[in-house]
Amino acid sequence: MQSTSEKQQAFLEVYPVMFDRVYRYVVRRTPQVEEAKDLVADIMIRAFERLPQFDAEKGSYEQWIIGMAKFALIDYWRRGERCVLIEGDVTQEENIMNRIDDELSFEHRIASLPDEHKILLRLRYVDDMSLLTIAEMTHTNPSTLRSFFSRTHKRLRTIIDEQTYE
Amino acid sequence: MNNLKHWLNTEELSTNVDQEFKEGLYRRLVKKARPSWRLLIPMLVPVFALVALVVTVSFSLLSPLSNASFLKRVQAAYEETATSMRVADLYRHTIVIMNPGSGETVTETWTNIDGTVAYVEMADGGGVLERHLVKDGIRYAEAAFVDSLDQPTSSYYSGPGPQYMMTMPNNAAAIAHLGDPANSAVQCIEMTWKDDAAVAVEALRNELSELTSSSTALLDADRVRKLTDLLANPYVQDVGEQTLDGLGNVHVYRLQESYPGFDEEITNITEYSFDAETYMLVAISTADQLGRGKVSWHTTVDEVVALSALPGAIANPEAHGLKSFVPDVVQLEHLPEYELTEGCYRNADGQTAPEKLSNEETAEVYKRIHAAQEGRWDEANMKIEE
Repeated sequence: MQSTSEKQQAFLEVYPVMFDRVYRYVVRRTPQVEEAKDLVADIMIRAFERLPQFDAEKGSYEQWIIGMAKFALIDYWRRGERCVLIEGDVTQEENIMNRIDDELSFEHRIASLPDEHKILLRLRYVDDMSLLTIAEMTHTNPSTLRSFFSRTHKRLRTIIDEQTYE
Repeated sequence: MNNLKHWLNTEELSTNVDQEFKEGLYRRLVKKARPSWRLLIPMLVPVFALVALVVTVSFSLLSPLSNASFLKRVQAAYEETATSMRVADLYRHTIVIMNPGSGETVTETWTNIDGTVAYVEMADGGGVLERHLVKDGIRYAEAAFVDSLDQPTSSYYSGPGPQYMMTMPNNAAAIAHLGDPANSAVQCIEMTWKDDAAVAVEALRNELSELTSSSTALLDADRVRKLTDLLANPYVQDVGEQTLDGLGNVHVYRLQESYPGFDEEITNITEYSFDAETYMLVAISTADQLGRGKVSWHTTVDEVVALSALPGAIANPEAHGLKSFVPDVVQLEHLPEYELTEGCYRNADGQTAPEKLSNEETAEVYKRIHAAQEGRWDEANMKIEE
């Protein structure tokens, strides 16, 4: 059984790698980098203060702290009046899709999407969140969100299929 | 979508890290790190001696308030002869007990009502307990209970007046809320549930399980008769078995909205019991069309019978001589012995790290909470914004 000071020492040793993971995880799910940094700082400090509760038998520091980051992000979206705007960006998105069609790689096509759309894609496909959960978190109308994913899904499916046949 | 998922993960890994920020945060953590115990031993010897002396002297004086005393009282309650109040008492204890780390809240809802003043707690399926202080339909102070995993709901931030948040130790969500300058008015009260609280929770669950599964008649003939009368009440609808958080499968009865005495604005009334064969526990919650003035309480079959016999009792029980009908035990009587040991946290504008209150200040917070619970507004020092 590790003492708190031993846990702190171990935590600091893995900090360089762990920080990068948490930082990237959070930054890619928040609209503003500065807000993301505040969240990361909160998460890391809270984790450090809660080290006495950490149980190495239940998982690694990274698993533990990513779990905390997930809750912090959900809380961040829920407690603020932050929302994502989808409807106004449809034309922009389609224009981007059309413009880059036949010109850029799949990765670039995705990368060209508005940041907020990428956040939604991450929540949906990386974090495996349900539409309703995302809608609640981001203060978005579920039907609007459903339409967004439906359009994006079709478009991405086309891209993926094209890539598969190429 | 696997390609997308893979790509997004890859892209995530390629995000540049702000090295300056990373190093700055590292330095902050290093400052927070405890020094090695070996270095502290010479300094701690006199401290241990002093603590031992204080503990020895104060044990005999404070033993009734010790953490263990609550568990003893709960255990003592188990050993009593089964009575209706026994289960009610247990529930009143479970109201404020949460199982640290489990994400579960043991109980659901209660209130202490005094005329038009209501003190309401609600728990959702995720284990969040909210507390709303309501006077004349206006919510003016709130507190939210959060356990170690759950987040306070957004309504926590609404309403004028002082706000309190009760939380488990080192609750990440609570600290985050306190660290938010928008919540500078929030005072966080840190509960320090010890292992024995978790034991108590388990014991309570076992007790409830026994009660709900037991076919032993805990009801005397009089109670059976009252229950029969209740079920014969035309305003009581037998909903059937439902699964309720913290109670498991229970038999649910619903008091119909047309029940005489309900204000016409009241739109939501729920009532349930568990195992009508052995015991009846009832909770009634009401809310007007704007969702204000939610009121709820737990009671026994006797009280429901009294309720069903007195139109208007729900809206204003005291006016119908039902003061005893309102549980008067729900004063969080065991809380201070936990909380006062650790103090509260307070937050000031712009502070990111909550400052701990002294025990005296914590006591003052509790004094005000209890005063508000009992409707002593002046003592609670809470302004009501009409």
